[in-house]
Amino acid sequence: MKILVISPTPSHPRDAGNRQRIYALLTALKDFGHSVHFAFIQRETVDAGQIAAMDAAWDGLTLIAHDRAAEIRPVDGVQGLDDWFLDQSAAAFEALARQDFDVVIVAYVFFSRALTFFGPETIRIIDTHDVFTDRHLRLARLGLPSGFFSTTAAEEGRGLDRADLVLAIQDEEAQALQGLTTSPVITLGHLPNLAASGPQTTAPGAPPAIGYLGSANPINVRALARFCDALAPATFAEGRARLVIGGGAAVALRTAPDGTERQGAVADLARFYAGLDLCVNPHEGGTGLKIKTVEGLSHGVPMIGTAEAFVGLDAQAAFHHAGSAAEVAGLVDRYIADPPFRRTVAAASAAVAAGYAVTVRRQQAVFRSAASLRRSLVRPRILVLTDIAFWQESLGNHARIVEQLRAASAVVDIDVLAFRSMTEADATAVRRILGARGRCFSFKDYPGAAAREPAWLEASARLAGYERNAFSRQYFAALEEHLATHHYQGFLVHYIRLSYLRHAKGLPALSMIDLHDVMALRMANFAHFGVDHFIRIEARAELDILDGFQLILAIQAREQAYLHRLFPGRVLYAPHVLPEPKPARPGPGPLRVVFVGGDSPMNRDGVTWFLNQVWPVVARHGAEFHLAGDICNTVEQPQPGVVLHGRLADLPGFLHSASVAVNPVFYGGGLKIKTVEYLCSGLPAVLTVEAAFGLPGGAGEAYLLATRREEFCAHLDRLLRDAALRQRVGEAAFAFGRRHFAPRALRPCLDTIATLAAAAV
Amino acid sequence: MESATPDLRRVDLKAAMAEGEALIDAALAAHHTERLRAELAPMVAAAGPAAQDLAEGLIAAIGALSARVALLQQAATNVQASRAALIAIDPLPFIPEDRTPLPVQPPPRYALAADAPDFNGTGFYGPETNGRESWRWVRPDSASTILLPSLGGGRLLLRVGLMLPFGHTFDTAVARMRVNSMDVEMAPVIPPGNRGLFEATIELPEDEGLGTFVLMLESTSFTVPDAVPNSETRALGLGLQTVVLEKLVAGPALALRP
Repeated sequence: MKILVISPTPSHPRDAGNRQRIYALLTALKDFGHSVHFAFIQRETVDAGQIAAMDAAWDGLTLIAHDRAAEIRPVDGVQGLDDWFLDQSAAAFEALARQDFDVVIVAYVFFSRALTFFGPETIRIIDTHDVFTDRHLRLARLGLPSGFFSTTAAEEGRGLDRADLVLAIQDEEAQALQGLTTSPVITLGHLPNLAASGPQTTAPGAPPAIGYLGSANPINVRALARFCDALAPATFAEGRARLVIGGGAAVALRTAPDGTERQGAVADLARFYAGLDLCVNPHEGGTGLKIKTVEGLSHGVPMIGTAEAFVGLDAQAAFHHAGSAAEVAGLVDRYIADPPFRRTVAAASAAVAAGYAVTVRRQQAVFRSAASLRRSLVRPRILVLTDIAFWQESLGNHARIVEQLRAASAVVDIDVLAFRSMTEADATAVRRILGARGRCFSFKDYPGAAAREPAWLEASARLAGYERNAFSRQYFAALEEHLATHHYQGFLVHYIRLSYLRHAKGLPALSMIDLHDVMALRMANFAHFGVDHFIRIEARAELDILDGFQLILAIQAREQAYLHRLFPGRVLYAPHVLPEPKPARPGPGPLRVVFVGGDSPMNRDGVTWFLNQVWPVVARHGAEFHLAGDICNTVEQPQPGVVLHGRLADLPGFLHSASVAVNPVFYGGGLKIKTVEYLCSGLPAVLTVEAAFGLPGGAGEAYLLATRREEFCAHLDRLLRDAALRQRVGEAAFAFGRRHFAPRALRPCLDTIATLAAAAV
Repeated sequence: MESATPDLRRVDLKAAMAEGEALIDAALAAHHTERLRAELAPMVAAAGPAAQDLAEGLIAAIGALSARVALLQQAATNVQASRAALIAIDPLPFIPEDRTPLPVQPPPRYALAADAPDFNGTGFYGPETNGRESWRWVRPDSASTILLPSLGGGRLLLRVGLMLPFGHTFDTAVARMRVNSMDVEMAPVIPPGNRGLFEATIELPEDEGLGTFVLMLESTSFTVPDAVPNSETRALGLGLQTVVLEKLVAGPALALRP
């Protein structure tokens, strides 16, 4: 392909993150064998030598003069979309447009007007680098001036809509950008184009060298200062470790521990990183992918950093999710004092680097050919059928659907037809989840359906047993009316109680059902403990219904295995996923044992047993037992040390301040969402076998499993007595949670659905 | 601070049980002792200091004995207790064993024949056989898909056995394959004629062993030449015979420090 890349950032020299990004993108395109022409809008000054280097590196170079003084100034920190695009540049773009490029890529949305010079025969792409909506407000919250571009959501969306395809630098930003534009958005991460990494030059046994490399930008300097302020100064003054700071940040930083080595500008990155044992990124605030994190990892240096520094990298370890710069300092102290921890950090960092490299190579493959690029522009549309008010986001099944739809909207377009009355606020909430390409309908949008005659299906033998009992004439008629004017490549039914909708005329061949639970297994488990279940369906009837779907989505490993035996080759594993949580950080005061749950029979019975048979045994440590959720309504006279919170507005905050979690349920359904929440929050937990049902392993490492009352007591007692054990199990829980229940765990399932649906386009 | 606790992956369940039983014994003894102490408090308060010490010792001893008796009573009761009563004390042993969490271990290899029951594909005609081997023809003008397990993702060797109808032979224009939406360049394992075994190394996102992916086949379709007498009236694309996946040991993607 003949590709034009337009950028206000030069590709040479590669001394800043955005310059590295441009260079890596152009190099990747050339590696695919494409002809790459670089148009540099000279908003940044580079010397003649660097211009010559750009000219030599690419197949063509166009310099577009730019006068910053002619840019329109911001009003109250907010720019208009095209404020930096100068009319005097138009002739240059018109000339470029005459050169018949197959693809044009513009770096940054604020130069998206350049795309308007190219016709539809050219694939027009924006490489966003960052999200600029209200950027000035985000920085203001950190006490920092904007210093760069910031605009409104409407303006940014208008710019993105100019593209046929939008590139986000990481998944979270892709999700944010999907909310702004109807152009398809895909993620293209950043893999630095490195010269070979040099061998490590630090001596074995010498005090570890801790390094940071960053420019003097205010976000960097602020985070670095907060990191340095929180370090134990004696560690460096006494020579137990060295602190090495490179780049403009070394000059801009006011105070640092005694003995800090400030290197200023770093000409040889490989040499700088080869001299480090550990790299830190205490980044706080801001957006985008943290190029310096990728850079350090790509040079093979173990890293510790904040969650924001590792965003988009699929990191799993707690030390890659520090809550603040000060917390990074605490982890560095631990790294210096604890050699086994150093090995753990090194192994986890290497795994992040390797995994990310594979991910980016796969993302880059879309540019391999014009055909694959054009395929990415056409997205299949899936219809989701549900009667669950998931947009309220207050129950476990709400969370499952919300996260599933959020993740799915990255690869397919989604329409929701909800069998609920919906207010405009409800519809807005749904669209926020689905992104700007998603659409939301209520069965109430089809009022004629209410007055319908009996549906053709009611006279059919296809409607039998459970489905006949569950059948709603109004729902079915509304769906058929909807399908008369809407066309899809696949549909997904949430919950078996709506399975009869699969018979509607006009549905596509790709039929899917998300079970949430295998009802027959759930009923049997309830019956085992003498409890009636509110949904009654025979196993045979349930399996007959499932057999009517091309694909069955199973929420957990055991159910996946069970269903796979019955429906080989037709079961997709769709785990419950949670977005990036903060690892728990209990504060001072009594240890807090927590349980979160609704007022369900299994929670009631589990908590009653725990309060009667376990808590009196372990309460002696002065710990408190905190209950949250509607389960609190069932505890009439709490014992001393038992605290009831009721329904929570801030569940993550509640879990964040907990010391230990318990889940004492002994019967129930598929996957216990609260168990997943505990794990993802990095809470050390004691679980019954039922509470851990469906987890893919992890017992004795990521949580403590109890098979008898005595074990439950002993495990909980041990966790309450032993802070180091709490830390170890909590960190393992966090990593287990990220590995199994981060949004990326859904990707194989969603990629499968997207590919099958795309084949039907 | 380093923990002195054992490696949790090798937790001694017997020791944990003993520890738990001791905890329950201690809690019960404390409960009985407290109750006794509360009952005797007025008498003990009225006694002299020496008698108070003696009383405290006796209360602790009697409390422990009382707890022991209660435990024995409970054990005796348990022998005859109903299932419901036992569940009220400790329901955990009643949880069915098949609820135990198990790590997922994907197989290192997966083979799919065209007539296998777990063949989940679209855009194919039904399976056909000549008694020795089976195949499925790709329908004309369709992108055919096959759902396959990812074996945990990472690097996999993909081998696909294909054939062409009506005596046609393979050339590069006939068949294209994609893994999910990515083009895959398939190399012939042996020089292909009318049949071919093709392979490629593919790289999938790592998963925990339950993932899936889609293999897509695109091909031109053929009809029987007019001059050749043949009962086949269908337009046919590629004939798929087998798909084999093997997990490859992953090498580091980057030069990483130990």
